[in-house]
Amino acid sequence: MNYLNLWEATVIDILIGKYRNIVVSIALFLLLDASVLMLNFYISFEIADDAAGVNLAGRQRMLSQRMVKSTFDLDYALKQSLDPAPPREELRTTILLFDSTLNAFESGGNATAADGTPIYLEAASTPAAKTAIADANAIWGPYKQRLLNVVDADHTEMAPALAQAILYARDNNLTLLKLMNDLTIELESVASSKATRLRWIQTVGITLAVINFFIILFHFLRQLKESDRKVEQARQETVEILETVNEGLFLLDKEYVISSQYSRALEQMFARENLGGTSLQALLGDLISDKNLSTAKRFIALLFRDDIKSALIGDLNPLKQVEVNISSEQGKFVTKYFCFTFERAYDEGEIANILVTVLDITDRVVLERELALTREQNERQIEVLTSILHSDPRALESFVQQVFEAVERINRILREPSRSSVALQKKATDIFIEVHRIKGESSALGLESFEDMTHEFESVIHTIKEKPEPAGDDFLPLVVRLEKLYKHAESVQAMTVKLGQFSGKRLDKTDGAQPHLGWAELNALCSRIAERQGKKVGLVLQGALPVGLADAHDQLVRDFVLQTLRNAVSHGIERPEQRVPLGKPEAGRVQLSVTQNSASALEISVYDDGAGIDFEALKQKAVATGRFSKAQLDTWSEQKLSALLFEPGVTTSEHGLDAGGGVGLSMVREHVKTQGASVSIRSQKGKGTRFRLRLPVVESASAATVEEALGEALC
Amino acid sequence: MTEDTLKVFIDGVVRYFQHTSHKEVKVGAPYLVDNRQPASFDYTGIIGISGPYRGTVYFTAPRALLSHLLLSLGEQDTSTGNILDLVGEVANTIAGNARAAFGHEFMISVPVMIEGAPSQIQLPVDLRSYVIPVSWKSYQAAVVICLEGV
Amino acid sequence: MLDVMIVDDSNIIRRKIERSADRQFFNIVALARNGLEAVDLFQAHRPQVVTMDLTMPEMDGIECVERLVKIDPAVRILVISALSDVETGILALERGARGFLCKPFDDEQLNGALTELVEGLHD
Repeated sequence: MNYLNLWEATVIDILIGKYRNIVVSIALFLLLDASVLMLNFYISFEIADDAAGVNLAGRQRMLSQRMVKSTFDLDYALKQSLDPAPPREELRTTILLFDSTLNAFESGGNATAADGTPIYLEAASTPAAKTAIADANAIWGPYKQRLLNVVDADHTEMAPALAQAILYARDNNLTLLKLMNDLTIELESVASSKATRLRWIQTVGITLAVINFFIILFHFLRQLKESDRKVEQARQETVEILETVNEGLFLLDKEYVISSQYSRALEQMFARENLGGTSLQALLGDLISDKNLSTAKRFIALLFRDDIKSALIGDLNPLKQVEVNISSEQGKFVTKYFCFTFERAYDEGEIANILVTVLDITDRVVLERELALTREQNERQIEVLTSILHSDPRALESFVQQVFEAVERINRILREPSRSSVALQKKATDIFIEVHRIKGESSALGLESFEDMTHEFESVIHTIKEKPEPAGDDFLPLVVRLEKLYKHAESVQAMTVKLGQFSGKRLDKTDGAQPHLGWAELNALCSRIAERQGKKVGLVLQGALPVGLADAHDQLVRDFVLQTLRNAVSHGIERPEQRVPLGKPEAGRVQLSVTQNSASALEISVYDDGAGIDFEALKQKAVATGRFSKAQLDTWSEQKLSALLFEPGVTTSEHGLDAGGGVGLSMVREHVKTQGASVSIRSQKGKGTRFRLRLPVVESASAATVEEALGEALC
Repeated sequence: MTEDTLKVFIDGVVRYFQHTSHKEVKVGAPYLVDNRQPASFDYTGIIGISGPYRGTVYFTAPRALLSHLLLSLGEQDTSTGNILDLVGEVANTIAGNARAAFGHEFMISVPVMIEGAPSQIQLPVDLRSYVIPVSWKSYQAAVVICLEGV
Repeated sequence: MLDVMIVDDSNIIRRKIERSADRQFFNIVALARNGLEAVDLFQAHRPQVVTMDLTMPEMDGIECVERLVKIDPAVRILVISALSDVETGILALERGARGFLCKPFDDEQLNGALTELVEGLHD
């Protein structure tokens, strides 16, 4: 993962190697230059000395001629009786100057320069110079003597001495001049050869320096090129890695500043550009909370401390899983989950940076969430499941359908435009009727979850109804409940579908269930029981079943209808093979009649064309309960005996599954007692049995009937 | 989803209209609508919500309402550009109100404005949206809220 | 052999750490039930290594870390705590602890963490 670290290390290696060579090369170059310079310095001094020599040698030539001229000047002065002193003094000076200079050339020593300052001369060293000096000395000795005689002579002796000197000069002057000229030329040639040598040395030195320069240049360039190539290669690799990795990669320094190089994925992940040089705050500021950001900074600060074991603080990373919301162009937020990991990046053993890796773990998190959600849903479903396992799936199915329809109707009611609070009041009332119906059904089916929900719903409506002038937003809690109810119905429906899939058997098992009181359901119930007992039966409904009765009445009607229908099919209707010999049609007929005699009385009867009550069997059962004696029962009329059917534990059924096990009708009797209703039974042997329930109608919330409900369902 | 959450968004709209000269704005009875048929008028301003709840909230209104609203704000120019600006303003007010109410736990996007049928309103099809009708003068507009709890 | 002090208010955790720590390398010299006890025992035994719970009665882990580091800046403290509060963990490290181990842990994790903690330390 430490791509960047690796890259930096490589660069450092390359640089150190490069510097070693260049340092050596430059040192060599300087050494060479210094030696050439020193040599140059030394030789130029020598050349300067030689130049002085050449000058003085040249002056000797001039002096030799001035001496001659001075002698002639003196001669002229004597002959013309002029003052001889100036030419004599000039001659003296010239002699002394020539002599001292010649001596200096011969054996080294001080001479006088043109400006009168003393100048040191090295003794001439070349053979030609030596010869010239020696020859000159041979001439100069007598010459000098003669001249000195002239200069030192008094007035009278001067003329003869001068004649002698002039004579000597005439013979030797040219030779002396030539010798001095030779000396000059010789010295010049020495100087020139030294200059040549210096030029050579300079040329060689410069050449060497140039060669060295080129060596350095080539060497350096080659190395530079090579290292550049390596750096470029490393850079390329880094860039390639940074361009292609899926993770967001970047380095952070101690000031939480993002490195100039970072992976392209980082830009894509954060939907931002030009992140280099910006701070962590700029990257995360508006994505995570301030608290989270500051915790992250503190965590990163810990990583910069080398006394802390980085391997031991991973658990404290606050950005292990962060939810970020990246805004898209659509103005929509895309929620992503990022995982940040932090690693130290060392430079020469010091923690230089923190390498931050950002992983998009959205898929993983979403999957985890979904799993958790599924688990939670499963748990909730199991709760609902346990409640619906006790209900008849078909009944449940139709119930759920009813809920959907009711929800739709409620929504329609809500949707109707209503400006006045009166209209809103009416809405609340209308909705209440719908909700209450569902509530009644759910309690009948024992679906507690629906019952709770609708109950809550009802209390919300009550709150609205209590307001003298309800407004639109008072309906907000209501619509929220409506949505909940819808969702719940959806999940229950989904579950019943599943249940139906894995258990077809379950569909037949109606025991203990409270089927919905629709014709279809009741017909299905009769058919199932008949089928199980090898009977054929047709259900006929006369009139309409009341819906929206007060809860207790509703329950009574339900219980009565269910129990008597069961009873009719199980005990009343005979098998086809028994019926046919009696001249009855193969299929038995069960009729459910509902009649409302007046505004206050409802009559429900269940009639079957079966065998009628077997009173003998009934007596035996009753005696078997131990509560009645045979003798006692023998005195009872059939009318009275039939009331035994409502005694707990008394049943004529042999079939445990379809009858109430002796509980069903007795339960009805309990309700009848408390509701101010009455039940009657009429039975005729071989003809059939009629159960009739009469009950006073307590104000009902809705006059809707089964037909109406069915009609709506069909639309 | 609770009624309080819904109320926050509705308050945003009400607050906006209360700034106009005709302050009287009425909130109608809310209802549900299937997301497969997103309800909308001529112009719609949409904001995205994210955080403990996520989804979309939009304000949608007919051109007549918006033109009238512009005029009541003293703006004579009722060009489409201005209309879109206005619907965005309302959406912005809703967003601002939501931000103030929900705190930084929620992320609320910059509004997006749409003209015509909002095919761009992306709503989860298996959910229903809450429609809260709003009436101002004689016009009808609506706030539509589709939020999923997390 | 490095001397170790265990600081935790839970009996079970103390015993678990005591049982789990590799006796080849670690010598448990003291068991403390709270911060105050830890400071006393630390002064008495001067262990090089301390495992530290954060939420304890009397004196909490943060303050205890501070006190121990004041007494011996070289002490290696491993915070062992449940991950309910990352902030507190970070605070403990800011105050001088060197590492953090998340509860619950197994023997391997504990010894791994202890080994990492004492890296570079000679007895």
